[in-house]
Amino acid sequence: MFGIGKGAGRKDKQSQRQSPPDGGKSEPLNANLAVSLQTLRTKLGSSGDLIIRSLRADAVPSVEMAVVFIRAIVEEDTIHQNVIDPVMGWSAPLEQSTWLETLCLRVISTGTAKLVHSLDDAVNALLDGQCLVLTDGFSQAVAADTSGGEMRSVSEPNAQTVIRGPQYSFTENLATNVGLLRRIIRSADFRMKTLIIGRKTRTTIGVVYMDQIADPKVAAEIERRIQEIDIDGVLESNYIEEFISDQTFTPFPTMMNSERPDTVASSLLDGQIAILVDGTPFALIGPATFFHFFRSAEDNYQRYDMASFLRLLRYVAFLASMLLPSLFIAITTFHQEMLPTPLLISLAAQREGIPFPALVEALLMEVTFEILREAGVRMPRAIGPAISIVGALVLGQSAVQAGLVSPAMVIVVSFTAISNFVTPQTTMANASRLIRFTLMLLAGILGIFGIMAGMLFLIIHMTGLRSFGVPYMAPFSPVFKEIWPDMVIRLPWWARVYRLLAVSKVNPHRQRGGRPSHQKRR
Amino acid sequence: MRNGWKRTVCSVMLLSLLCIAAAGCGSRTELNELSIVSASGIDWEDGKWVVSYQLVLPKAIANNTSGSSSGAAPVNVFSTTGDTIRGAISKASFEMSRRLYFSQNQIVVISDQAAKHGLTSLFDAYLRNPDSRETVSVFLTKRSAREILEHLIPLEENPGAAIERMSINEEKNGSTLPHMSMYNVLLELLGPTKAAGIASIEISGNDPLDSVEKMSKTFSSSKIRLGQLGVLQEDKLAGWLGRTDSYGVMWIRDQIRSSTIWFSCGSEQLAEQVVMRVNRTKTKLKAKKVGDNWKLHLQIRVKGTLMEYPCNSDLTKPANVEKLEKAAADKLAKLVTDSFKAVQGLKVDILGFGELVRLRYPKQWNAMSSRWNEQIFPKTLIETDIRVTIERTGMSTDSFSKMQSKAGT
Repeated sequence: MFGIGKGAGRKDKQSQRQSPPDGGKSEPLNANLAVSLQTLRTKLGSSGDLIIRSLRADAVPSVEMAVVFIRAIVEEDTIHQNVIDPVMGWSAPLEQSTWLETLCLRVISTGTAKLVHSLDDAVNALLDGQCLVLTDGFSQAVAADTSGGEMRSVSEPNAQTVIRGPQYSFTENLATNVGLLRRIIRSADFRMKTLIIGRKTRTTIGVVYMDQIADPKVAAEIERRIQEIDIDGVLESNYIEEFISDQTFTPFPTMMNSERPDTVASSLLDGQIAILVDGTPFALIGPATFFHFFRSAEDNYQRYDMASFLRLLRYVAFLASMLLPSLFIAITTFHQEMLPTPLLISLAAQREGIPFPALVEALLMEVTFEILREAGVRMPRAIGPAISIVGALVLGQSAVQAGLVSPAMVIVVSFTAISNFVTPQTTMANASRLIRFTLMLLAGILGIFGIMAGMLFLIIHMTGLRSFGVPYMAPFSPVFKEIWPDMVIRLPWWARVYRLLAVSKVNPHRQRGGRPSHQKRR
Repeated sequence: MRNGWKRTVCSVMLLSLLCIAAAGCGSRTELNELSIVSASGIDWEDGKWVVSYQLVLPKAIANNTSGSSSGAAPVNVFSTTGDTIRGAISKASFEMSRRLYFSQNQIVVISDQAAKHGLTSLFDAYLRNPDSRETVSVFLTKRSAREILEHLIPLEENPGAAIERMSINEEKNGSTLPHMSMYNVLLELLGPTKAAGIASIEISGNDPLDSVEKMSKTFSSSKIRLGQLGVLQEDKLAGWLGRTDSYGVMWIRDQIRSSTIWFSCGSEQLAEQVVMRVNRTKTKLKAKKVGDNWKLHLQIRVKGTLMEYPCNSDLTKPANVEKLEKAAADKLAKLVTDSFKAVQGLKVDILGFGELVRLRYPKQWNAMSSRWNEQIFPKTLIETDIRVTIERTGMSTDSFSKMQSKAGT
């Protein structure tokens, strides 16, 4: 923008990426303890939560030492027990040449302890929750991993609940989340690549997949795309999702998200790749095709017949939430001959005295509902009942009594709204919300012809979409005969032989398959 | 990259514009800008077409569902006059605030005056205009069509739809009069014999039920009911057939779907006391050439259930059942022969006989097709081959009187 050439901008970006974040060359630590402590203090802006604890080892009371850490991102108990106590109680003689090694290997008893050489490394170690042990006369410090601090514990899922199935969800802590996954999949093939993205936030991102199951090319491509991200902060997985999606200008999501470890685990076993972001309980799952978004975790935990029925119901509900208002508008304003006479008469009676055209009426109600819904999400929890009263009574009933909208329209809008909540993945449900408005306008101008035109456009668009190279409409376009029954409905477990991801040519079978021997007819 | 995006946006917008041009949002009509015509009537008075419309008042109907009638009539009837039918309809805009909406029209009632004048323009209007649907039911009436439209029907809110259902119901359960849609009428009139039979509607009684107040009584002083069979030839009414003759025509044309027939216990008794429900029936027609004349060979196979049997024969014996079957067949033979004669009397072949001749003897048909209705059809003969099978005798075998006499001994 502002007339600057695209090429120049891109070049600029690249040069930035090559240098380390926030520039500057690595400055070594000063051998003088007082000086290096002062440098650390200024580097962190004399922050109040920077704790510097001076101490001396028993063996060498003459040498000044210091333990530095940042409060609240470390576990102070660990620092006391595993760093300060052993260092202070160290009674063996200090040898100048091996002291730092001794500290690392024999004195400090935390999980990891390593030497840091430069000031930047030292600062980063502090910010990661490690504690630094500095000794006067050494230009290196020992960083001991003592990260911790208050984190939410593992709790029940909020957004993706099931009746039957595991009742725990991811937390905001990446390490915990990976642990939860590892506990489900106890396989040596479990792979996790750690990447750090965000100039300022330095967020840890874990790319998790199953070796021998996931397509290694897709895993590499995901990693490459994540590494290309150059932004100051990554606060939630959606940052990553928008950066690495194949296409931005589409209403359809090409990656799923889940806060459920079991869902992620089952996706991993299907050959999908999960991206866990530190600081959010929502993991990304990709590649994902259109039909992936209608699979709920619970499908796997209930009987196949019910699960299949519910899955088909979800497709119907999705179509309803996308099409119902527009079909209603189209039929009542363009194609009245399509309605049975008694229904037409009843609808006509309801419309007597309604001042607006059906399109305006529908838009009015839809927008009202969207506002109510948004209010319901944003408002403080205590006001909840007030909103439902206002929404249901005042807007619904009174609008009908006042003759602003017809009762049939209220039914249509409410049914649409309810249908919208059936889709298990909210990102896909939101897609139908946006498309609904476009189709309503088309229906109001062109009738069913407009809806058909809109749907055709959507279908063409969807068949062109890719999720990390996987066609969005797979397994139907292109056809993958082996997996489509299990994709659309849910087969009995013994019949689910193929892993679902259409492209995964690696290790495609989940099990030998076939009817259990006791069920076979002799 | 960005260029391609721009191009997509442009082409989508262009396509949408084209869509508007193609479909036209001018055809958009809100429901409260429509007046739904549930029945229309065609009269011919003083050399002009009078078209009557029965408009549904949605509000009145919707209010009636709560049980207490609101006092407003569920329909409103008005007429317009013109030299042509469509011309008369277009004059409706002088007195209507809304567009007349014909797509939900259930019935067209044609007065015999109009039918005698000729209905070419009506049929043409139905074939030509997309909003007048060929699924509409067609009826004739000996009164003015408007009177029929003005008549309310107890139990029903939409008289037009009620008349259509009445006719469908009659065809399904009684099969005396055919239910003719405009499509069927046109199909038959465009057939080789250019003839069709249409049921008529009549009003019994002298005090038509034309206001809601009259409906507050437990009985109605007058009623709408199906009447006779009007026979159309080309586009004009040629004559009427009574119900019995119409029933026979239905048998010949294989249009009996379910019916009830009466006959005597046996050849020795003449009173028709036995009733049989027709479960299944199949009529096969064949045209035969007998010298210079033509003969209609009629094969009817009927399967039925006894419903009333007050006679004394023992029905567990097959011979007695066969006797009954014979009696039923004789009755049917007489019925169809009488109807055939009656149709011949009108000199209009609505039986499909001409069609059979055309299919089997195309050359001869071409030579005589113009003379068929007037000269040849009235002289043709009929030959019947009727077999009735009584499949079930109901839940009892002996008649009540026989059981009583048995109990006495």
